[in-house]
Amino acid sequence: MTTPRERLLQALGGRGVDRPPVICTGGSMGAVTTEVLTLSGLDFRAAHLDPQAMAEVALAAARLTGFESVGVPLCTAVEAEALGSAIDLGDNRVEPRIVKEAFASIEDARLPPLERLLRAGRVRTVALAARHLRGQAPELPVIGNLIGPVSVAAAIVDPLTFMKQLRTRREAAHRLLGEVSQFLVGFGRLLIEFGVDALAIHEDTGGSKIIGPRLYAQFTVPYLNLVTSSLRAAGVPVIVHICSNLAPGSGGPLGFECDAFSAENITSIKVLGPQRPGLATVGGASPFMLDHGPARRIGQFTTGLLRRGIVDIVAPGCGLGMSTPLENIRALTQAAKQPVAAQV
Amino acid sequence: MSELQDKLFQDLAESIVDLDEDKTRATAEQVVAAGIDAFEAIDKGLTPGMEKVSKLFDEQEYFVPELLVAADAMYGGLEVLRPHLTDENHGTPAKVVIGVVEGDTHDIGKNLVRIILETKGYDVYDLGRDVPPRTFVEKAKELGADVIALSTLMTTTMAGMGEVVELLKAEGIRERFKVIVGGAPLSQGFANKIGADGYSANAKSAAELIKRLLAPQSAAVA
Repeated sequence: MTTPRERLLQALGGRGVDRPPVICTGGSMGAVTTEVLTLSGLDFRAAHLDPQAMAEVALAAARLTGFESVGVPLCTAVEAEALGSAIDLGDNRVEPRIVKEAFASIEDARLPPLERLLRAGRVRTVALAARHLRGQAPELPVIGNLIGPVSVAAAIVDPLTFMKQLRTRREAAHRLLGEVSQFLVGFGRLLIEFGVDALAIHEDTGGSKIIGPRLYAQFTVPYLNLVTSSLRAAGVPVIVHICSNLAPGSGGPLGFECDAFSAENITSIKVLGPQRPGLATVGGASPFMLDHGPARRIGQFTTGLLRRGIVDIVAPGCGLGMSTPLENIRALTQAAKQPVAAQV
Repeated sequence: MSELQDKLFQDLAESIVDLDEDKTRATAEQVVAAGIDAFEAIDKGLTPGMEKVSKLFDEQEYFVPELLVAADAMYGGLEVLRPHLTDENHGTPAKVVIGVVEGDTHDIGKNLVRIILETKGYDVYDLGRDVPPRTFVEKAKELGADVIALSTLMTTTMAGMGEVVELLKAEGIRERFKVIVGGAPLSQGFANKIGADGYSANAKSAAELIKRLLAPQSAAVA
């Protein structure tokens, strides 16, 4: 009997599986909804601050939704906070968010030494939560989540100034992205040391849809690759998620150094998946459909997705809204777990 | 004179398309020094420049960084020209209060809408991001705004938009403002559901939507 952990690692390794796993990585693709918190009686705010509480919420989300993975952190603000941005932790309806970036401009941004950053903010909280999960859910894969270098940089420097300075202060932008990438490598290695089975790195601001294909090729792809290649060398598979349409000619995911790629929309996967046969594809379920339902349609859609064999790993294409009904998420995970034979 | 004027207007427009703020400012200074009408320089120099940039943005030649740098050039030119505007021949522009609803700090889309609206000559008051529903209402009342524009990128914060409409109704001032909504997770259906006046999928159509919504009013005024 294959465990979910074995199945995901096989799928990420490009080896045959009995059926595609259905996962939700965590980080910017959180599986925690208000309903999960209400049903489990857990407090989201507390979970961001305490390793044991973070692990409990991550595990409750997996148990209640049926996703075959657990992931930490449960928000997208850990890196920016560690690098000095002010955050608001939110509550059971709202995820933590950045309220004030640390620096006014790219030139102002100076990061402390790595050793200090790895003790800053909630970096170690996340690592310890991963260790708890490893102990508490041996059958489930533990996924560590990182935010991509461009997105992190845009969360520590005023985002508008950052966008402009990608054009007007290229040298300073390269320096900052280099430093941010070193921090991400350090954070990722810490998570590996604390027991994660895989890493997922999420790049939203750096998508070519937002900064354009030229800056995407100059900044997003090289710094993502710098991080992912170091982390793959440290021994875990890496999933890259880009929050953009990966239009042909955009440079990715063909240029990405990773084991799997996840894209917001299914067209990107359909077009680009076959072009990189060694690369596993992750995604397929529209967060919009999961939010709006109906559950029956989600089930049918998922069955169709598997029948056509478009994705190697079923997952939401982008982060779930906290208000997403549990019934809809369960419709996804239940349909995905039907044996493939029964679906033909 | 006219030849110089045309040349300067063209330079203003080109400097914006070329993302060259220094040149925009320098050209605007030349306009002022030559005694050319500042309003005309905005209308025939800065505005066509920014319109060309929006077109390049629509055509995916330019992206967010280019649009922002171009907007800076336009603002630079405006800063030089504004003190030299006379009050004749242009009425009071419509006022728009804009912001990202509470719980969300994604403000790129909102900023694009603001820039495009400013390009079109609207008087835009930007409340920033993570804005409580009450603040939209208070600010719109205080400024005598014509339009309240609400933005969000997150499904989690959509409810705050409905709340703005409800607050306006509760105060009996719903009819005073046009309320429009925009952002990735939204739709026309959602706008209808919460009783907003309109929905727009992107920055360019937001400007068109506002123009359409305000059209009968301005016709009545004229």
